[in-house]
Amino acid sequence: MILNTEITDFLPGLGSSRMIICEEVRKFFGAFEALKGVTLEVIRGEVVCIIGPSGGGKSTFLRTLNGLEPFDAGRIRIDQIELPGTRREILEVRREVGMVFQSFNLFPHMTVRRNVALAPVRGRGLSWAEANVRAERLLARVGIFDQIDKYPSQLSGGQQQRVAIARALAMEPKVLLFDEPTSSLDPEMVQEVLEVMRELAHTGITMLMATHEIGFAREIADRVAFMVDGTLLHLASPKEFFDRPSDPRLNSFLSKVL
Amino acid sequence: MNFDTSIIWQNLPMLLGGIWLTVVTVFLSLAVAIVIGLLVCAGTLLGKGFVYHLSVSYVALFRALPEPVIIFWLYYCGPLILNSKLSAFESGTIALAIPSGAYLAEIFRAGVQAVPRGQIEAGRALGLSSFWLVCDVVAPQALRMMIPPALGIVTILIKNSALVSAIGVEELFYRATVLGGQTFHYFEFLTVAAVMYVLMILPLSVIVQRQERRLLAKVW
Repeated sequence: MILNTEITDFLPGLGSSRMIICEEVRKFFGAFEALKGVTLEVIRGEVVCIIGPSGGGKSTFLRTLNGLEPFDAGRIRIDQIELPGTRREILEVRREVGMVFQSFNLFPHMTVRRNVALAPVRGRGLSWAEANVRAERLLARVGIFDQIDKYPSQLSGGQQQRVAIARALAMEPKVLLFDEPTSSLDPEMVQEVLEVMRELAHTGITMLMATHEIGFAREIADRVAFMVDGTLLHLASPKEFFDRPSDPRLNSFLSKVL
Repeated sequence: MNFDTSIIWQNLPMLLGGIWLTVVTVFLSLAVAIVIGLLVCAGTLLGKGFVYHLSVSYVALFRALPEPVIIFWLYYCGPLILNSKLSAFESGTIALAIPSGAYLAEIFRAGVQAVPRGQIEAGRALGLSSFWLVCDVVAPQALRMMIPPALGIVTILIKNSALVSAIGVEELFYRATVLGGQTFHYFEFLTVAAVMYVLMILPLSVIVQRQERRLLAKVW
């Protein structure tokens, strides 16, 4: 495994097909081991859904991938950058890896337009005019164009999450991380957000998603992973994953949520 | 009981001069207090180390001392340590700023810490540098929460400014008592002084109430 990635370092054609490489990633919170050696490779353009019970380490794992959560052992490589890198490298990774949070985390003191336009101006050197054009295009794409001058508190949860997706897209990231994007939404608003994500999945952007939407994962994922107790237990195509679940813990989980 | 307004008009320049000096004292000590507050707040946010402990001790000490003690101590005992005698005005201004700085430091700290973690994480996840994270995300939200309590400190500062009359700063309250003593018209001069303090503080209270209502309504 290690030999493999070292070789691909010298073969750009092969190496560049892997967007995310994680090897034996470990993370402790005090004495509690939140990640017990997670190994995962995600290919460019791939959509990987991670399911599993709460507290299993899904969020923690996603947060290590953009440097929000430092890890204690193992290695993570995003595109060409090894984590934990220098301060500059971490910024660069974060600009290439968009993240959508469970609780939206829009900036409440900015209009929807400014929420989306901010990061490209600060991090990519766009002018406000350029960034606003980009924001308008993205907000139209997620169906929020008519709310563009409102503040986040004036929007529904589903609308806020769509703005958050547009905000992440504004940096034109190579990877999008979704941390249970529909878990804090009212049931009737889940579909509008999933619809946006479904459309994104077909655009060829690399997506890694922690979710409880089993049906959605089955539909859009190229591969599905099951994470429990800080371990990635099972990783397979949706068909194999759901039709022939081999692990007893996965079986028991699926029987509860399906 | 008769209220002689003519005696007020006769001494109006003197009273206006007192108001002016009160305003100058308040603004200068507020400026010093803000600088102290920012530095001490930065120190307490460090969370560990010598500067942190120094900052926390500063807040604890000067919140515990009565303002008159600080004012008298700095004016009468300061020269014994500092080797140079400050004027009553300088000494009084600094003495007012010292405890206000401690209160402001706590208000600034509370404001910064009240910004939800998710906000900072969202900014980080977007690749904002620390500088822009503070300017765009933390500061605007923290400032908004700081305004009502900070204006509360300003109103207290205005009231406490009357205390420096005790060391001979000729501000509004000092002049009102002196004029009262000279003319035996305490009633008129103290009433005018009282009205002036209220007029200075009332607009601030209105702003505080309006801002607090907006905070409760969560409207930006």
